[in-house]
Amino acid sequence: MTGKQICIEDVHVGLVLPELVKQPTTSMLFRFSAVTWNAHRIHYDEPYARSEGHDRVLVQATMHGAFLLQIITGFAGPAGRVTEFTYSNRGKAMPGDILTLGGTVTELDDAAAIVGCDIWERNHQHVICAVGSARILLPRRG
Amino acid sequence: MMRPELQHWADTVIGRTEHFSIGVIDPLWSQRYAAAIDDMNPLYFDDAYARSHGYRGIVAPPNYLATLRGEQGFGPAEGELLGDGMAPSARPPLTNLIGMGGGQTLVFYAPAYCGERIIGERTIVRVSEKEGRKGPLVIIEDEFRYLTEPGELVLTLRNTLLCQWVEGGAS
Repeated sequence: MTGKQICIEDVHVGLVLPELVKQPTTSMLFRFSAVTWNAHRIHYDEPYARSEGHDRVLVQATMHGAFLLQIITGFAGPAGRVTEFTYSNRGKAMPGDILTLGGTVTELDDAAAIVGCDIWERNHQHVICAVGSARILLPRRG
Repeated sequence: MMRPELQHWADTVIGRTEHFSIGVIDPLWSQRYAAAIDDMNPLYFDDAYARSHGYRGIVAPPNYLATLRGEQGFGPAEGELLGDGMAPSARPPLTNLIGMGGGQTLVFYAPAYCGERIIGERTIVRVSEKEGRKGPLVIIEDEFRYLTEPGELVLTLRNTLLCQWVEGGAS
């Protein structure tokens, strides 16, 4: 995050974003539920989660979104600005799962210095948990 | 085609805009949010760093506001929570629904600065029912607008909530 700033001149369609690996833990789920004041029991109450048919407590849908946004803000760097971000939840994840996030540049508007990216999140069994896209305003070199 | 009780609820809520107050973006809470997702980006913590990159000060993670989808207060009392722990305002007041997030679309117009006072608007724009993989699925789509108190648009959010209709589920 504090490294080299990517600029619009550095980007081309097809550029692969650096992957990001996240491993949500029960303490992450607890703190995320607490800070968002979300008492939904499937995120912390395992017997309840089982009653809804899940093996264990589930990673919050919006935490998947937060992870996807994190790969975008990391790619954009401190001087880049995310202007649009959309995602769709496709599969569930549980504490301890290793989630890998990646993406590809799909669109480049050099005049506006805007980059479009497709992004994804998959678990260690290569099952897609969420997909999305984003548009980023990047600085120019110099 | 929606079942009548859902259609009745949808008819009463679709298109009605609710105004709510977020209050001041407290750096303590936005930084707790960043810590909870293990995103220690210095833009969220270091004022000098943020200013050196063109910001007026510390900003909240871009989707932090999108977690605040209603009036910020102490919330419902314990006895008022639904069986699954959710607040009654989170989904239709119908029994046997299990809620889950389905996705979001965010458009960022300006950074959300810590210390700024934010107001919000929520409009339920669409309610639909379809047959999902595990049975009937209710889809509720809300649009939110977040503005600074002087009226500068910061963020729009379209939030999708999915509710599985089950026999003997949460009430």
